[in-house]
Amino acid sequence: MINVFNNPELLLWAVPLMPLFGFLINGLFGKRMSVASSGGIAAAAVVISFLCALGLFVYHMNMLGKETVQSSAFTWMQVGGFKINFGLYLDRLSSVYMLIITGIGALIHIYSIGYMGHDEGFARYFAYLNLFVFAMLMLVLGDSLVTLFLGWEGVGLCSYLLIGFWYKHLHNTTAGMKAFIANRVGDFGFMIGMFLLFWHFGSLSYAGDASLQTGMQAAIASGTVDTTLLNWACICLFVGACGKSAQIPLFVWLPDAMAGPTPVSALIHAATMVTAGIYMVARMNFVFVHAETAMTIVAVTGGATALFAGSIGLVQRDIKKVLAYSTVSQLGFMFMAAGLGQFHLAVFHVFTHAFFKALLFLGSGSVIHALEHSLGHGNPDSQDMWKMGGLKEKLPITCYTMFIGALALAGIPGLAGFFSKDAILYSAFHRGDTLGWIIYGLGVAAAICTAFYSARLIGLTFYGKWRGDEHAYAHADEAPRSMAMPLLILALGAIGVGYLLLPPAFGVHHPPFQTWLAPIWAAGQAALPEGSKLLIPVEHDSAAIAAEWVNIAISSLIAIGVFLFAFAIYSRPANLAKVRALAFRGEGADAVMTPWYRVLLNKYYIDELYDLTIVRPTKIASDVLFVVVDVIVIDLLFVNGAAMVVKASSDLVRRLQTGLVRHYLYAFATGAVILIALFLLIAQ
Amino acid sequence: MEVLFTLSALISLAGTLILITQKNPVYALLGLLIAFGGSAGVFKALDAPFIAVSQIIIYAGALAVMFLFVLMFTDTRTQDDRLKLPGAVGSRAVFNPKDSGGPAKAKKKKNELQMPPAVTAALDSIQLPKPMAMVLSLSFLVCFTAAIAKLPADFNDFGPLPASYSGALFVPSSSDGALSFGSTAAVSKTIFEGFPLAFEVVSLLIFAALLGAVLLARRHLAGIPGTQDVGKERDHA
Amino acid sequence: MLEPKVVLFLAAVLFSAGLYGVLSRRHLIMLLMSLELMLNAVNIALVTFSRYWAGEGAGMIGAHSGQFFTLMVMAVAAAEVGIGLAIIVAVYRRKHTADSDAASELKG
Repeated sequence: MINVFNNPELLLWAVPLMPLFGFLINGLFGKRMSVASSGGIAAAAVVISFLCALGLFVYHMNMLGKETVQSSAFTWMQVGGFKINFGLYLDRLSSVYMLIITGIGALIHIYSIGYMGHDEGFARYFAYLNLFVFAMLMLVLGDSLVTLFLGWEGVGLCSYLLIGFWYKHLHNTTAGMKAFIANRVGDFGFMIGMFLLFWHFGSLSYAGDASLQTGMQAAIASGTVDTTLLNWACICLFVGACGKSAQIPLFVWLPDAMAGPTPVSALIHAATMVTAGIYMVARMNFVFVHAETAMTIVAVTGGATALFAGSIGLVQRDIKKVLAYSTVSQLGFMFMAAGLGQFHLAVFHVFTHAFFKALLFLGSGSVIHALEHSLGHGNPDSQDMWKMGGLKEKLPITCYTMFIGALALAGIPGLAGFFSKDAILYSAFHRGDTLGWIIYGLGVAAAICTAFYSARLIGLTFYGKWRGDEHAYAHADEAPRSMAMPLLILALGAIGVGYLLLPPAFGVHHPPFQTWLAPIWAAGQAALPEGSKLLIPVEHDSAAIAAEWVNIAISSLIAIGVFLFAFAIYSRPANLAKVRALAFRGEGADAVMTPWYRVLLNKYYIDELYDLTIVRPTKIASDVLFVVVDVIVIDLLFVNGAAMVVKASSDLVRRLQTGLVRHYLYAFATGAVILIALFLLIAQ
Repeated sequence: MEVLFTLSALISLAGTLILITQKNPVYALLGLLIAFGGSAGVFKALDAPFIAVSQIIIYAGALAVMFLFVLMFTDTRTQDDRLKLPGAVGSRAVFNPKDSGGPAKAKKKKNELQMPPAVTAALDSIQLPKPMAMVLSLSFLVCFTAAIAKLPADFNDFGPLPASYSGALFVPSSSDGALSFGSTAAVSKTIFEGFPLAFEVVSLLIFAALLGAVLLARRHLAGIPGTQDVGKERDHA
Repeated sequence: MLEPKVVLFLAAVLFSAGLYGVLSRRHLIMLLMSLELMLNAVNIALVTFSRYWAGEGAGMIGAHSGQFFTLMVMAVAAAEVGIGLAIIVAVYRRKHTADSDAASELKG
């Protein structure tokens, strides 16, 4: 027997293929399987995949010290000089992502068994979920931008399918379509970026001999780096990342994507898929460092998105919408870090965020699950925080784990979110130029929002008095074990994973996470000039450490202060009335929303703006095109016209087809005579 | 030779004339048999006695009988025949005994000089020539005549055999001298030494045709429309 | 010596007569009979060529190949008549007639 464990390539293939098998089994035979076997197979596939990933990471990459594992399966396409291999490529960056996807994916699969057990479409659900894991793994493990794009589109498809999972409600399917269309805009940019890179380097692979890296090195060596082109390429790639990772202006789909099942929101729309944009930017870091304009755009877009989405999150009533805007905001933090050149911080924030955001989503899922039990499936009241309160008594495990998640999200010192977010803010603080201060300002404002809505979420949901339907409160039960277990594990992660990258101020100059990823950035860092703002700092002098302490103090104070303030407001019924006075003028039915509240609640009217400027003109243009081009030109002139010509001529010709043998014989004999006569005449 | 050929050719043409002019299928079949008999004489005149004998055995012995069987088993007259056929015998007489000889009997009373009724019927059942068919077949004849006229007087002037033919060339051995042209021995040598594969393939073809004919003509094929007996179909309806 | 062109002319006449029969008849069995006549005419032509174009150097087999082809034509004709008659019987069962005009399902 082949020792699979000692063969890294086989192990590597097993990682994405296991979920694919799970998808095939569930997709083909799911209708005949029970919840336990369907969910069991799906979860087992991802757990095995996670074990393989763990084996690769622990044994091959750490104990044997393999830097990369590569396996090429076949030539996918070859057109002239353009050749794309279909292969897998595992390095230190993709190993981090691989572990997040399979690890958190496995937990969410297990959670889903409890959450989706009563849904009639559970087999379809697990098939999609497994397909998603497969596509996501192809995205991060592919050895070229084209394979990445394959996974990119694959996760987009699964996202679309899962957002519209409860397809009987029109609202859900339109949300799915919105996600798809917003992503298409991004994909267009991504493809243009790929074409530009291919045009410049003649390759789209990042593994093997003729790769983007070697192309870049050759360009540096010969001094022919075309900065303008690289800037455009990077901006185009970033447009793609904006679509997938929900940044301004393409973020509008993510809040609507909450129409899908909650575990899907946790896995796809918080922990993994939406961070694909960060992965792509980090993967292409050696190109991005040469494109300073693009980097500035990335950083500013990230910062603006962080504040913008965070402020909308302040007033949302739907528990999942709060988390959705929080995700958009945190993704903005990640792009902020990437735009400042601190790619390792971006990836680190992806890593920590995956834990606490998945935890918060799963916790909210647990709340919704408990309330839906008596409110009925799809009842919006089950997600409205203003109709909750005091659920701590009923759902203690959910409450305490979510509390941990909220603290981590708010950036309370000691928890995962603090370390990653603080490091990002520090890198802006430390930069010292105008851009740095702008980003820092945006980041701090966003952090205030973050702490506020985290506390508001916990306070409204779990503390105070129950404000909804009494019956629902009485029947709210703690989640089953399969749902509670992932919550506990993720809570441990939300506490602990931050310690992988402690700031230098704590005396840790070589944190393991940074050391692990250092080789990924090595080429890009080497290409940067001395003293560049984009460099990842290696040495920290006493002034830097002092500055860092200042930053830590500021962000700790903000986080703790704002969190306590918001928690004090929202966990006490007496204070809720005062908050309400801020939002409404008047009492009861005559209450009028104050302008600022209305603007925030309506998400700055961005959806309406897009509707007015993009959707409506497109619809009008489509209607015109439909009538003129489709109905008149194509249908009437081409399709029906061609058919009518054919019909008219065949009406004439078909009379020849009498069905009488003797007529055919006459025709045949006449033809033969003519042929023989012609032959005789020509042979003269 | 010339005498045999002339006689045979005349017989053959006479049979052909009967075939193409007779409406009554039985008479037409008789004409076909006469034409084949004449052709057999032509083959003999052309030093092909084996072919001549095969012609008689296969056509007269097998095919003609088969035609006759089918004629007798089925009322195979066309609508045209039913309406216009005057006093015909043969298949019509078998199926419509009442009508048979009716007009012939009436004629008998009028004229003193009587021809045999079969001859009367045969003369009555001659069909008028069809102009289109006539034009087409005559133009065929003109074409063939022109082609024949263009042939060289001596057939050996055709020139040497094509190069690709040389592979199949038969090198006469000493024993071949004893074989005369057209003899059965020479023909069988041609079959079994020259074209054994074609011979086998043809046997396979005949076998397939046999099976096909059995399948097509079988009655009561379950579930296949049109294979049921006429009477039975009516019963079911 | 028999003049080969005369024999070929006989074959041409027989062939044309057969063709006339095929074209002028609607009765399927008549049609088939006329077809046989045409094949017979071809046979005569083949044997004629075999006889007069034996040729020097054609050898015993070469000289008789025309006769062999004739035998082949006969065999194929026999198969054809067998199938043809079977088809006529089948058509008759369906249409209760052997008129070729009756089988006109291919009419466009």
